[in-house]
Amino acid sequence: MSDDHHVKRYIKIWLWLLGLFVLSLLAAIPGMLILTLVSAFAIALVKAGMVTAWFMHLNTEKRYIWYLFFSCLALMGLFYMAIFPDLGRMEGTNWVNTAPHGVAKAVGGHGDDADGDDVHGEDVHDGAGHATSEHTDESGADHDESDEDAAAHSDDAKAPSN
Amino acid sequence: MAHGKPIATTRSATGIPTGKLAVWWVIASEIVIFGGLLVSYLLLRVRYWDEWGEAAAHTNVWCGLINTIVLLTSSLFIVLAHHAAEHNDTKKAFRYIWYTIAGGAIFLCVKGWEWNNEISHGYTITANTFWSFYYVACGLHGLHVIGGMVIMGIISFQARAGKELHRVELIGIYWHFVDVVWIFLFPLMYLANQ
Repeated sequence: MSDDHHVKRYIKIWLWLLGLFVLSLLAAIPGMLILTLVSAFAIALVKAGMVTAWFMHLNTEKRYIWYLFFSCLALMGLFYMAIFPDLGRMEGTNWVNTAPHGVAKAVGGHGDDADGDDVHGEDVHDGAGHATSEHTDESGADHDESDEDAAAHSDDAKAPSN
Repeated sequence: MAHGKPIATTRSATGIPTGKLAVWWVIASEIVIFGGLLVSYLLLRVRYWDEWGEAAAHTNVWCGLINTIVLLTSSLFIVLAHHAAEHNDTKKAFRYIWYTIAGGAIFLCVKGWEWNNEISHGYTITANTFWSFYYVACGLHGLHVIGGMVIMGIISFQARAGKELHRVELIGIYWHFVDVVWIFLFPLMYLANQ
């Protein structure tokens, strides 16, 4: 294959990339977000495929590179699946962080709730929107696991280091 | 006994030149970094459909458009530099590398103007989660552009002297990856604004 042919092919791919870019802009004109996102992402995938295949020469590379490339993509998918159950939930109080409140109490009062202004007794919604009671101590003692853990950590911190 | 340069360029277990394999490892790790960022963006974009759409409407599509064309063109220049280096045309390789660096500089100038404009209108990194994502994703990408430009600058002079010509291909692979990241960033940050 002659040098000129190689150069012409690179320029042709560049023109295709620009053409696909214009197409993704045109798809955004109707103003439908789903159409915009799907078309833009599909076109982006095609463009990325063209750049990796022809400009990065992945189409002529050894298979190891492919294994490396796709195993990392798979790893990314795994990360996605790991966080999606949390992030994908639309309801509940899974975005409210109550931990700092418990830690502050534990440091001040070793987990005892003297003033009674903590979250105990309040209904806490789980991610699916179900109301649950956070403390279930039968004796009615005003402490919970998070307080105890925090108190334990607090005591650990106070222990002299040898 | 002559002592050659102690760099393994072709004798890796995979049969792939060591430098090239290293660059692909870098890219593989980058896939996870940028991929994680983009996937998180998509999840939140869908979750906060209206709020993020409203925020995204304030991004400057023209700046994104210019930068996309500039980066795609710079990708063409670096692959032409690689082609020239393969044929020992060191002057042409040097010239094309500097065209690519110029593309990176234009990209950064446009991005700088755009950020200045957005920040002056109160759209800072702490304005809301969309803008946090915007600045982190584009900022991280911009740092990769700067890194690529510096490395290209160094390699260009080596290429002009006819030394280490294989490095033109290596920086080219990296630069194309930077381009690929932008290919995905552009629709997410600029087009999905309804």
